[in-house]
Amino acid sequence: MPAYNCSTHSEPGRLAPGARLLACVAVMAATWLWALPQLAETPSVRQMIDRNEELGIDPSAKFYSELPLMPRVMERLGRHSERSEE
Amino acid sequence: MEPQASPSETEVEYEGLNASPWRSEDVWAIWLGWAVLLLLLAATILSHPQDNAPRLAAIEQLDGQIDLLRQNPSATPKQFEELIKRKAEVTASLAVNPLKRFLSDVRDWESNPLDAFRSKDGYVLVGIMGAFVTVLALFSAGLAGTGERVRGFPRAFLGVFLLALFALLLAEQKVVKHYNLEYALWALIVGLMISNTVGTPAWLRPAVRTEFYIKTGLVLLGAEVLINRLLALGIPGVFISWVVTPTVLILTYLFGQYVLRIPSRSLNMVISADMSVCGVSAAIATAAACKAKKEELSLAVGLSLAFTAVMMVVMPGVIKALDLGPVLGGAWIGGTIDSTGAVAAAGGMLYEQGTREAETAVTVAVTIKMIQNILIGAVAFAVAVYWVTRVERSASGERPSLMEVWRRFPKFVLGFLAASLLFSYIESQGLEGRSTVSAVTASTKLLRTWLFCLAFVSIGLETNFRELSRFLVGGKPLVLYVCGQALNLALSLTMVWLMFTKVFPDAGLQLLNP
Repeated sequence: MPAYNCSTHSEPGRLAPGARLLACVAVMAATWLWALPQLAETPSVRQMIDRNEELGIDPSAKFYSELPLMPRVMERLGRHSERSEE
Repeated sequence: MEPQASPSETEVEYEGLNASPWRSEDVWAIWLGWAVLLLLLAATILSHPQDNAPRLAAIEQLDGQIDLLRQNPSATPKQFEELIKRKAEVTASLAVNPLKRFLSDVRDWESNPLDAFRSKDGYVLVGIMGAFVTVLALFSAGLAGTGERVRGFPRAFLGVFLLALFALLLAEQKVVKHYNLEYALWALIVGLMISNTVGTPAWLRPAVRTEFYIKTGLVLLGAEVLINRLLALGIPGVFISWVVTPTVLILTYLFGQYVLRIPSRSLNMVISADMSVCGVSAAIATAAACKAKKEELSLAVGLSLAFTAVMMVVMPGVIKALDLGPVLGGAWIGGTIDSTGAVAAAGGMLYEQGTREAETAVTVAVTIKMIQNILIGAVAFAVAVYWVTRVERSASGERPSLMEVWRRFPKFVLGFLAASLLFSYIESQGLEGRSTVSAVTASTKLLRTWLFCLAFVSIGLETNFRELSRFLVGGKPLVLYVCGQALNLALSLTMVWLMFTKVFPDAGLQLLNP
């Protein structure tokens, strides 16, 4: 099968395309399976993860509707607006 | 003098404009998005609990308990939180979406990636397969509808879907997730890794459908843009989010055009929007509205994620040093940090967990960001109108006629706005309406996540590093982002201070009460 665009051909002094992909995968595997789990155990990172989980915060949320804490926030806001009307 | 745009920008691509609009991706994105929305809405309404009276009575009882607690000076924030959480759970049970279990993405994990596929209810794998079948069926119909070949799509889609699954797995590692390095970045990197090493195989090509995935995902996003939440924080919230944000967007865009003279208007617009509105989701919406190049969207998303990770850590320290307090500090964070999740995380860093100040800071920060999120619909519509009437011109440079404007207008934006209006109306129908919207959007947000992830994998598969680096020449996009963000920080702080200390000081004080 032909491959589309990009620099896929071998150049002198460069790794073959398949070897480059394997190298990328190896770096990713080492990072995600070894380095990041180690980092997760450092006190400051552990504290941040635990705090976010306790508060129902998903830091990767792209939109407010993705935040687990949103129903509670809306409830609090509802009570504030009721009190303002009183 | 306005900088001259390149011919590729000013000359509209007429290819495809003469084809029937009913066969366009824009229109089919609306059909697909609305088919999903109506199916989920119908399923939720048909599964409506026979008798909600006991739940409504429980909600009333919980309201009474919260009121009693409010009168008790020794009540702790934790006690309030528990009751509020319980009420939110009972409210959510007023409407049930029976299809929810058939859609899922991966769970977060720390050291064992297999944890991403495990959950207490055991629905993760079923949900991932459900997402695969749903998107495959939708886009097979979409391709047939647009007159394209469906043959070859299922096999290609399986490949692209597996790459998207891999990207989500990378993004859900807890350290990555809690530093806000979102799936868009990893999807892009996974795609780039393939295209820049072994090359994108031809058999994957039929499922590389960046625009189609994005447009359909945006129509689904419309259901989450609930305009009745605009006044959630009263007038101060509107001023901070709907006055400062568009002002920053317009001034940053003009700065990019007239001072920096960024050659691509669409790149300038996408960076201005993602920096001023709400990061990746705003970048996706404006890029689709102004027909930006894929590389431009990638660059804007990369800039936004990099600065968000930094601001999420730095801003709480600055706010503590300035002693701004939970209301001003939370509102400043909400108005300036791009990504919604990072806003919540930064708000949570301001005070010790479990204190009233911490809750107030998170509530204010998230609410300001939510009001900005809602702005996304107005921004996408305004950018689309501006682009077809002012930026895209015919080869002779004449203003287009109204008919021409309609022909060029990205029609999926109308599907997006219509979804926003319908779901805003449903939400306005009391507690049960609110629960119905939550039940439906619990599924649409998962489907949208898959669609945007597939779109970013597709971008990576179609891009090479040289094309991407071309946009960074001279560092102008970086300068634009930094200058725009500096303006955003200054204007937001000024408006927050004015609103909560001078114009509506009572509003700020009330937010500190439970």
